Amino acid sequence: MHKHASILLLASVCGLPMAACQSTALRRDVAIMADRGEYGRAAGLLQQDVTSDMSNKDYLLTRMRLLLMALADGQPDAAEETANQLFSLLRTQGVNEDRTVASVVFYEGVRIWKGEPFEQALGFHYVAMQKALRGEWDNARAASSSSLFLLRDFANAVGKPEPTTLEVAEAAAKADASKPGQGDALIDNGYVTSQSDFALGYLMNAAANIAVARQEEASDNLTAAVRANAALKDIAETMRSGAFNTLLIIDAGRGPAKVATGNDGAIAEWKARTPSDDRRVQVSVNGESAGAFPLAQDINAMARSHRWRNLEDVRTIKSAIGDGLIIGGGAVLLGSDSKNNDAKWVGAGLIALGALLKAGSVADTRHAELLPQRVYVVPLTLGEGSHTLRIGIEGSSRAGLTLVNVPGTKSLSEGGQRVRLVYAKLAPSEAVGTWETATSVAVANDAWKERIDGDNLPYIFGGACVRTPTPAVLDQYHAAGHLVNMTPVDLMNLYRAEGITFTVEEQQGRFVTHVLEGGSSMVASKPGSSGYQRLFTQRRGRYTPRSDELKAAIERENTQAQGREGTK
Amino acid sequence: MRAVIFMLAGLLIAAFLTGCANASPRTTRLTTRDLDEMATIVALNLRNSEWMTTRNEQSEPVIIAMEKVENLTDDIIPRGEQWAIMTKVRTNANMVRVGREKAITFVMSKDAVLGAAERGTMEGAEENRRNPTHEMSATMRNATRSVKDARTDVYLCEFRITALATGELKWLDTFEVKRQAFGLTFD
Repeated sequence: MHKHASILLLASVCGLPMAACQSTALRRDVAIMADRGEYGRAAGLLQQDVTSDMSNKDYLLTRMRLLLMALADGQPDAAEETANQLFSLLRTQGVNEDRTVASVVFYEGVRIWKGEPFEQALGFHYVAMQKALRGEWDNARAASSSSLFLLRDFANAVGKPEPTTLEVAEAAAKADASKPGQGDALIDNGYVTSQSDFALGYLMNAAANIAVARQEEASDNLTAAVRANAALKDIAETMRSGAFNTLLIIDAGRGPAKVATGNDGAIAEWKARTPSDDRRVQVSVNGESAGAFPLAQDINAMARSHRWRNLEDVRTIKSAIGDGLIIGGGAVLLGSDSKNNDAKWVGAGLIALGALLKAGSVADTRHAELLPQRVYVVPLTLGEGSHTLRIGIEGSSRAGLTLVNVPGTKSLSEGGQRVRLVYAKLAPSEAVGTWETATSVAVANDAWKERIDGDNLPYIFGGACVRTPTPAVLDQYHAAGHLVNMTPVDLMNLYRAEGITFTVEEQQGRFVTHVLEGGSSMVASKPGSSGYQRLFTQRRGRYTPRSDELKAAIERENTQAQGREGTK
Repeated sequence: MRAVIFMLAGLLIAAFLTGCANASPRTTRLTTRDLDEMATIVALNLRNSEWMTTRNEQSEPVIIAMEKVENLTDDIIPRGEQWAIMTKVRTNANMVRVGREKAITFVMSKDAVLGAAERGTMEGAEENRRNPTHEMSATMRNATRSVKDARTDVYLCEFRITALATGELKWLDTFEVKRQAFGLTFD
């Protein structure tokens, strides 16, 4: 009886933390793709990890990763559902209330990942970006407002202006040593709430308010941005004066990583992967310098600040519980006489439990791995037509990123709000293709109005055109002697036979990798994004047909081409 | 010994099941029910408004172009929902009756016309064809108060009908709803 009960207990104890440990770590192939700027392929793979189960502990984390990659790829429409779900859960309070005890006793990984406060603020920021990229500045305003929540500041309790998390913990330990319980009291009540110092959030909120014609609120946000980061003074003045119509946001570097350190790995620490510095970003428009602009936000600094962190104390407590139970279980086993099997079983159960708790006390190191190290905000005035931007970090050995076909002044049909957001993510790795600096479009797409070589035949037929098959596009094919007996509907049916989709709605709101990169989507990245630059400035390998319909059509096309050659 | 085993098992069960019975609201976001209620009340208020009581079937026709809700809350209201709120008001039974009895018709929004013109699905002088005389618009705002783990949001939605020729505000109505949520914000 007791033996069975112990086994049952052990099984239940084993099962829960083990299940908890099965957290979805970022796939290595995705990490490499993200590093090399292959955001579309990365997002396509990340979409597979997204679950609709809201109780899944990585529900938010998988969406955060997907949102970051979809935006970097210039696909805010494909990120709509993801961003709304992310926002909804970030705005939901107490999502881990049911799991708090479990996380204290066992392992923090049983909790639904919501991220550290700074990750949450950045989550709101990227939702705001997604809305702004769609021209929904009112919703961008809502999301960026949410990123500016109050912070807990322990400066007074510790007696230092900018204490680190460790210093706060040390102060709590000292308080405990002087009087048991005082440490917890310090952590629970020793802080004062203070206004956010999230300069990026203030700038984004200001831009959104300018776009919806709320100048006073914009001005307040710009003042707060400069208070948080004095280097932003000139940028704030440009925005306050309204002398811009494009807000260029640039992400660069690899964001900090959360690693387990300390005794038993019970303490989580953030380690910089790209070192912080004050280098500015240089931007040129159509070959002319637009200036050098200071850093708006250093994510490493946020990760270092105790004001943007939480739960360090719980990790330490768990490690102590683990140690205590191992001693207790060992004592029961050793102290029991050889005939008392019940005692032995219970002792063994306690040892296993203690060991598991100790193992489980390893800090939860889940984090948003795809965040950048730094973010720049650059207000620009672009004239009508399309433009070529060049972006580079001062003192960098790399050539930087070129963005071709960046749209200028907004047309009325785009919604009437005159500010346009352009988002560029600089690939962290040096192993990026030549597309990064390409200055001409190599694949015809719906956003490119000029003719290019190969635009008279669809990519799926071996050409260099991925435009929607409209009558005008078919006329160009026909004029070149291609697909002469084919109507736009015929061609569309061939795309359908291949499983190729043209709208996010057809893709049920999911991210699908572009057909040029081995996927089945013809939804183009927004012009002026890293994704547009990568997709359309380089020629790709030949498309491999999947359907019999397309294979037959290609054969007919080749036969007709040979016939034409013979006639000549 | 049994007691120890049962105590530990109980601890485990408690650890994983606590809170299941807690049904406190966790978010202050507006619900579909709030929007339905708002549409009904706003449409009813328009029907009973002073402006409407002076009108009848023979009155000079009023052609209203609707705009989507302007979102000035701290909550995201997706584009579809912004239109859906206005559509709920327009299609409410009270509003349908107002249209029939008070010579009021609704036409496509400016955005819809511009979009259709750009896609090439509408030809001619599109804006003139609609000839709207009035515009119906709405703005949603909120005020937030937080105390410890409790958050309260008061949403205020303001509906307006403006005469396009004169800029005169012909009708204004507001709808207010309060929502509360409990639980740690960062958790």
